[in-house]
Amino acid sequence: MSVLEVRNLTVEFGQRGGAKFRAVDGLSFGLAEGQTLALVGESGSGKSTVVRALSQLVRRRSGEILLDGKPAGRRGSALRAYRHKVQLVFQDPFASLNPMHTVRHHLVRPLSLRQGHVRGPAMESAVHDLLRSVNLTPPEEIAGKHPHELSGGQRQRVAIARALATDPDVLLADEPVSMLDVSIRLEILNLLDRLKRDRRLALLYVTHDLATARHFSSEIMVMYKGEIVERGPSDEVILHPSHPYTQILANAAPDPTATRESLAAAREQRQSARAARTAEHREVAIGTGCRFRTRCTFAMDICAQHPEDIEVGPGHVARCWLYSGAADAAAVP
Amino acid sequence: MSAETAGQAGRAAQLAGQASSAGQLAGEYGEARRAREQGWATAVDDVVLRATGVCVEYAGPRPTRAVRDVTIELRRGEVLGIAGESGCGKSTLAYALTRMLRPPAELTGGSITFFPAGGDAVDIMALNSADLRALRWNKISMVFQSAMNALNPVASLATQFDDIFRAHRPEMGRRARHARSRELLDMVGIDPGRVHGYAHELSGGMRQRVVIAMALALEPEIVIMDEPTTALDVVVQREILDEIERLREELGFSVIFITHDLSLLLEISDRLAVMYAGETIEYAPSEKVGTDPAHPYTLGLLRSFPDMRGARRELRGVPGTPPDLRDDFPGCPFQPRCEYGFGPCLDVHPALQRLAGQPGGTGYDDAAGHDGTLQDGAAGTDGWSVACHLHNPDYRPQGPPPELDGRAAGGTPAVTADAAGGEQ
Repeated sequence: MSVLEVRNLTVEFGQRGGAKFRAVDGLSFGLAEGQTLALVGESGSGKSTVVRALSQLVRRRSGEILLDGKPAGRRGSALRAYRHKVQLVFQDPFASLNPMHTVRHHLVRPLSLRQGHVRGPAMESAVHDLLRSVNLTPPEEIAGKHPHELSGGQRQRVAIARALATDPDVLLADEPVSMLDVSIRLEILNLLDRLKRDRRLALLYVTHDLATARHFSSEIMVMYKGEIVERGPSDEVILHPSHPYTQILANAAPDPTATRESLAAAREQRQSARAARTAEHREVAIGTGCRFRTRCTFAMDICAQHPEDIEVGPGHVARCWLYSGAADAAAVP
Repeated sequence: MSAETAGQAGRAAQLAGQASSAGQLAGEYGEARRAREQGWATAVDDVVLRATGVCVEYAGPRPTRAVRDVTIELRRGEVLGIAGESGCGKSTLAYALTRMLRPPAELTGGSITFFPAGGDAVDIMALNSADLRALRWNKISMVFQSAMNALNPVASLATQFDDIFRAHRPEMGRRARHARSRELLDMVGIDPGRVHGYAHELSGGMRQRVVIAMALALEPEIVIMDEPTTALDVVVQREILDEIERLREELGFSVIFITHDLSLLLEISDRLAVMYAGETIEYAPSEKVGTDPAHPYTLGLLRSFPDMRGARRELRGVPGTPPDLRDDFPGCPFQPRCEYGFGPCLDVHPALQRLAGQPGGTGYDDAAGHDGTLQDGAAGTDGWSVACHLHNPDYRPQGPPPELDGRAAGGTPAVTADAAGGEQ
């Protein structure tokens, strides 16, 4: 059962000149206990807005958020109770910790919110337990340090420990490793993975890296311009991408096993595909139809209408006319 | 190879360069690239930039030795990749190559020689500031990581292009400058009408294209790219890389491509230098090193990238943190993080040495693999070299562990064996 259930989430931002910008458009999904759901997409697709709406840092235009089946509190103590259960890990560990405070201070604040005014040795041991749970040892030494004395990976561990301090059920990780060095990214992801299992957390992993999304999550949602265009079991989505956008994403990622010939061939193909679409073609008004059709190599007339979710495999859904039967079967890639 | 013979080779290339027109030259470069893609047969001696024993220190009570005795060699028309995690000295090295370091950084040793096509070898270390200014952008240009900051937010693109031409091509008239600016934008796939636009009107990918267009404005022979695609998302990154590749085929410049993304470098570079703690620890043909790394750190970096299509496997990365570059390392700087460390790693500093299996002398064969042992006394940059005691038969007669031994793996090493199994 889903711990956190999201129904028809829509977020809009005001723009100069009238029309509102719809950053997230009618998203529905659930986060299950002990499971990781990955949300992938290019920059500007609305991934971070989803996270902010879920943590209620931005106001949603419409839609429902249910925590354990009950509507999420929107203000006052109900909102605080919701935030205790739904915690965030931010992208940039250099910006998300206060440079003036020690690691201990960062952890004592949320701990005292949860436990009331525990002081002295009890608090100190709670801090140490948290630090140990994120593999920051020796905790006695780390607790007294300031953020500038820690490496990027250590800082992100502190940020994770802070998120765990209120004993949440849901963890929202917004690009938790993209600011970290390649060599330590996997350690942090492995840590999140272990914590998720040990603490039965529901984890939302927001990223633009398809490879780690596949390895650390059971399900993947692909977001494009505020919509989920494809979702399904992670291996299905990555190995057999259905939506043309997912196919582009999957093909764009570097493939260390590729040969020179296959690379050259792929490059040629991309170039001819790009040449087929003129520059002005890319910038036509989107209107009500499929949002991807201006970049899509398979665009058809019917794409001017908004596509529906169509099941392409067990639990695997793509929002694309290519799979509706309305399209010529031969056109399906 | 001695500097003298390299100089002669360089001059021979210059003569060839003078004889043919620019168009023919571009054709020849395309030819060379095709030849390389087929058989990896590049003229070994045709070096365009050689840096030997470069050392850079950041001054302080205990100086930070950011680049330590690094030797690299860039051949005409190739892409040389430099990989490593942050703080390994790769950007500092790039700045050192064009002598752009500012205090507290100081170039404390080494020599840097540029071999232009159609001129004498230039000792970059000996140039005065006027000569350096003439060299930069004109012959060696640079693309920086953050295109946001590389463009002037309050000047139109036209003004910024004009600046380049006014400084380096004073003979060009206003019309010529304008025409050339439009042509350059068109070349990188941006509507020439944008020339009067400003940086904030462009997306991140477009800005990076503009910066690349500017770097190519004076048709340099070398372009140094410092993490040019790091801030971009995968789709845009792919477009930019395609663009660089296309332009390189057209214009025939050489590229030093710096990034922490090793999987990307394996794809786009011809040869690859892996840096750790200010030193080059492995120097290898990119096509082979992905499946056949010789240094444990390279193996660790490769394992840091989950395979998108292959089978799921245990993912480890490289545990631990890089060393403090203010320290001296009596042994191997990677030893504290290395799972294969043994006796000599603690107190004997490993030198970069060519792996056996590579031909001796100045000959060099990219296509040859390595059989896991070091060749006697063959240091340098023109083979597959590694700085690791595991490959030294004096210390380890039984040879390196199977993961690092190209011979034992028999062409299907551990890293990709399961990947092949995962593909159906």
